Amino acid sequence: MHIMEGFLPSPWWQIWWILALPCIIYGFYKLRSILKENRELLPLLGVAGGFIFVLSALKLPSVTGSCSHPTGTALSAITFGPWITAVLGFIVLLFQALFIAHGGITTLGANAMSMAIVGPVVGYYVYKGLDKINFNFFANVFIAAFLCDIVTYCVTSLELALAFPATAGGFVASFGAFLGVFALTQLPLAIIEGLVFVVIFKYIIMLKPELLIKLKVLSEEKMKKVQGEIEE
Amino acid sequence: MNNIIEIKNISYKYPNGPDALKNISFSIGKGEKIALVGPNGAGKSTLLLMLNGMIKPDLGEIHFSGSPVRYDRNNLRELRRRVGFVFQNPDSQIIAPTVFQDVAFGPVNLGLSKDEIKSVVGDALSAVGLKGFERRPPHQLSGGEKKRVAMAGILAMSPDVLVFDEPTSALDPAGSEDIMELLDEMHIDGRTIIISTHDVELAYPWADRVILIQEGEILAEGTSGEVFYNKSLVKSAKLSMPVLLDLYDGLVERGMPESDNLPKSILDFIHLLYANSSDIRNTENMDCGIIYLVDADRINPGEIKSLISSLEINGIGAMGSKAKMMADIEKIELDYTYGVIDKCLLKSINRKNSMIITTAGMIKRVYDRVLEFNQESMRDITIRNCTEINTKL
Amino acid sequence: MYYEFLEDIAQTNRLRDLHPLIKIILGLGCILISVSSQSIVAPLIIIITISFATIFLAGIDFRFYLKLLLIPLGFAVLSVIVIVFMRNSGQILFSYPLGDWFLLTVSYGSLNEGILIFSRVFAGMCSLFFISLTTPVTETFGLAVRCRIPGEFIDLSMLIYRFIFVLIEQAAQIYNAQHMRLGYGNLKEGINSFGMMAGALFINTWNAAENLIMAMDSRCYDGRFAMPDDSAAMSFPLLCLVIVYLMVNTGIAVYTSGFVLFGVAY
Repeated sequence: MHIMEGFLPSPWWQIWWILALPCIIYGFYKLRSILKENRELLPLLGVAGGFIFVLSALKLPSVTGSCSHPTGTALSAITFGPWITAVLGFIVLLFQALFIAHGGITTLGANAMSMAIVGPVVGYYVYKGLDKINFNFFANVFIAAFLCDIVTYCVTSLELALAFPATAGGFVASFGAFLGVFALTQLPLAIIEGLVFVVIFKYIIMLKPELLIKLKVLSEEKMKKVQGEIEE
Repeated sequence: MNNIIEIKNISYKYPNGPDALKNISFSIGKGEKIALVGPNGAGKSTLLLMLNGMIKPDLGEIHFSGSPVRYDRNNLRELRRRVGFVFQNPDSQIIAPTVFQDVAFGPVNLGLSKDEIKSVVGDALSAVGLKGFERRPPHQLSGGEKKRVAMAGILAMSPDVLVFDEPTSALDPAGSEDIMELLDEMHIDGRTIIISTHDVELAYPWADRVILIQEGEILAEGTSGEVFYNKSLVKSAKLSMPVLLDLYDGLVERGMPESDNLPKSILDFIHLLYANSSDIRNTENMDCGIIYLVDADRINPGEIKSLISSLEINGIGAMGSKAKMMADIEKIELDYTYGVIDKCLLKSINRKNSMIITTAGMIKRVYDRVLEFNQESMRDITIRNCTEINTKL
Repeated sequence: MYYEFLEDIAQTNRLRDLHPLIKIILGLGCILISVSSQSIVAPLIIIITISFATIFLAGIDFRFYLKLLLIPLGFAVLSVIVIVFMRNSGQILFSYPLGDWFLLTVSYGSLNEGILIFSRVFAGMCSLFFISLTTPVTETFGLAVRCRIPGEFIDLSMLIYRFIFVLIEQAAQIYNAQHMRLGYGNLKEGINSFGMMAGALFINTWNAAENLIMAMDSRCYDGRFAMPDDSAAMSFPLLCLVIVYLMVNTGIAVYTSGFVLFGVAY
């Protein structure tokens, strides 16, 4: 869910930029140190960034018939971790604003906060947490992707509510209103995206499981267990 | 001829895979045009990737320029500078957002200065006929153009050897002709060229020597005639005989005497038929058309059109990217862009005049080929060098 | 699936060879003015002038431009409606009770605010489109280097740029193949097909990365990426014109900050 250019007034768009920038810079420094160790990661990250963009540019099959796109960052969060995703997400958001008019430049800070930082962080930690307690892999993936989407949309509503608090009821009422209005499209979208991610991982496990092991998404023993589940 | 690359008893097996190469040995002489031919999965790509050190053989040695290949970083960099590799799929090889930046990638990483880079990239782009494309993003180019960008990227590093994995895959016939002609241009400049292909029609006329590979082993090695004019060999390699050889074979079976030189082009074949048909020979008029030669470097571009209209030219061909570009700018309609000399010789036999626009190193080729043909066919086709005539006037 | 990115239009627009700094300053300047403006006058002027520049100077198709605007404006309307109902001030226009506890009110104040926000979005999007449609991203890498943005960041962006196009083509091929086999008939099939396409794309991404490493090593990769091209010619008169235009607009924005359509300014 992108906030479009011009929607957030001053001082809010500046505030979100100021909040988002440290996270992105931190992610960048982490990136730099990883690249110093292993320069071969640069091409992989470049292609991964391309993938995130392309995924989010595709149209999901939707219930409401509205134009809906996956966020794309959930996959990146699970496979690369949240901080790298912050940097990649930031670049992807910039390209999204310029190539397909999703979002804007003043609103890049706010959009980065919701889509490249908070969403992926929640998705990542939920995934890792559930993974530790050996939660069912596919259910885990679904929940992680679903939550990443929901959190993104909640943060966006929060950003809008803070900028436009209601006269009666203040921020809370406004927040509720925005949540309610967008829920119609965002909730089904989140469910669909969750389901889609289950299919994606199923596909990758069937065709190239080594990939996920290499990326430390799944350990070898867990992979065998999951593959067994698919056979059933 | 000194050997620039020597492959000695190499074997290789992909991790978790079957044997890819089994005890392969051969050598490549400096300045040769070599075609590695075999069906898909034969091991051609694997072998090629060893030539620039991307894959290290499990057993055996590879020698480059007399010394064995060493797999430490510095030596590999030097090897890859001298052995340029063009991948089959240009999309895997083009990495930068603009043509200029992509071609500049090699030079940048070799540490050239900014000015050196600009000049080297400019030369490379001119050589492949893409001057003016510097700021274009690669995704807007056609398949043939992308292939040429990939080639330019390698040329910019001044390699001695050029390796092409399936150079004409995914190209339309015009694009294929363009690429093969570019390969010839590079060869004239003294480089060794190695290609892999499963297209026998491509390899047969082009290669000096052919290496037939199947299931990781060398089936045969020799001149293209030796290798392809062998039915059982070709069949066991799961390939087909080139059409010209098939025709030749059919005619020989019906009683035509064998010739010393196997036909490699339509011209060769027609000449063969003439030489063997007594009917045609008796009624034949030995008058020949003239081939007018124009040096694109030396002629005043505006004068070409008037030259064409003043002489009775029946077919115009251009050899080389510079000549083709000039023809494009002067809006001269070209009849031939590939196999130009042979096609013009055919015109001459048919008593028509033709014109070849070309540059520098290829002029000698024209003379050599015409002389060769005159000797074989006992004709006297003349070349008139228009640019010399003009300068005299 | 047909995809069209604004970038491809930017590569061939009539203002392509203008120095990117001029275009970016104009676009960003207008965005900043619209976002800070307290009345609809300055945004309106920006909408008209920048659209003029986009359509007549850059040569963008008028109908295409309108179509582009439709989507963000549609969303804007939706969001603005929420605001109009909530941010009430000044004279009440009408109110409508929803159940026992909720009163839906629209007031002059909220109407003014809604219109203001809408105008800001309109102007902001027009200005953004100006940048997207006239400034190819490939021309901005040189600028980024000059602005001392870290090298790894620029390299990463350049790689991402290139691979967006490689991957989108693959995605289109897979999607069309699936579509031709009726893979998107109902929701369940659609989810399945989409998931497979995305999964295949992810695997292709990995393969592309491995090929990329091979390709870079074949060309003696030494940690340095491509040298950005910064040969665009700066036109100082044009730059001055842009700056003057921005200053005038800023002045207008400040001067008309009290202007409202409905009711009295407060």
